[in-house]
Amino acid sequence: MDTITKLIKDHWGDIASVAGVVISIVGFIATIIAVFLSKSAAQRAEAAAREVKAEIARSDAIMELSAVITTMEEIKRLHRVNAWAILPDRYSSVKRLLISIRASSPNIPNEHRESLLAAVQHFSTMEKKVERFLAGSMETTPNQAKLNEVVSLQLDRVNDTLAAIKQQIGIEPYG
Amino acid sequence: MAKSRNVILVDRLHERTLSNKLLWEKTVDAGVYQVVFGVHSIQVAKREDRDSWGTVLGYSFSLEIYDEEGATIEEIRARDLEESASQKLKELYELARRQAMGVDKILDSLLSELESQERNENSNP
Repeated sequence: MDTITKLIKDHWGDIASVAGVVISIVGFIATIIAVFLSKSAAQRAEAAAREVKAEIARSDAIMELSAVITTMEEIKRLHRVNAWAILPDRYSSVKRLLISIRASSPNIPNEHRESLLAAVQHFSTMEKKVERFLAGSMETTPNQAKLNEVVSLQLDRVNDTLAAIKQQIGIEPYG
Repeated sequence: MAKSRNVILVDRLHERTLSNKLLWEKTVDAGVYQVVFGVHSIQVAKREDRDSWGTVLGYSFSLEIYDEEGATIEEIRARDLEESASQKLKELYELARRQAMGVDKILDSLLSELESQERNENSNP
């Protein structure tokens, strides 16, 4: 017992140094683990937040695409009854919605983004054509059948995009 | 002499249309065809030039580039290009028209139908 007490007395400084190093190492490891755990928890929270944000964007896109489809159907009816004066507003409305969907939904696959852009361009061309007619700088009435043929093609494209987004969130099965 | 960007664009579109890498489609305007890639859309057009009496004097060809919102950002007219590029633009219009109207598919189908009729006639004289 005396030997141990003597040893401690003689080497107190060394023992304290070794103990300090051991405590430091243990503390360091504990800190690393804590940092790692808190970082992965923060990352998980961040990923979850990102996923929620993407889900909200997809839900918004679904609602907006549904509104686009309704307006396109209305445009076809308005073409059939020659309601030229109110059509430019409807074209603008469809364009605005399509532009907004493209801007706010980065997860839409590229082929569908291009389809939506093509639709924007078609409605732009229709708008210019009908505006020219209303301004009296076109001799003939716009061809309703041709206009509706193009609108129907755009309706198919928008429906395809809608189906693709629904697949992404699991509302609609693949195939 | 270095080619201008417009000439290079016409060249590249011509080349990619020939190799069926671009899908042109009809628009509501007769004589105007459209293709979309990336964030831009492009229309190639053949329009009538008329005098004040409405008599058709000829046709002008152009390429129009639009931004994401459908606004025109550039118009390239065949008459503003040097001869070879102007000719390329006219050819591009024709290629785009044939592709958008499915002319080659229709011709293939007609030829196949004719061959089939001829075979039937030969086997049942």
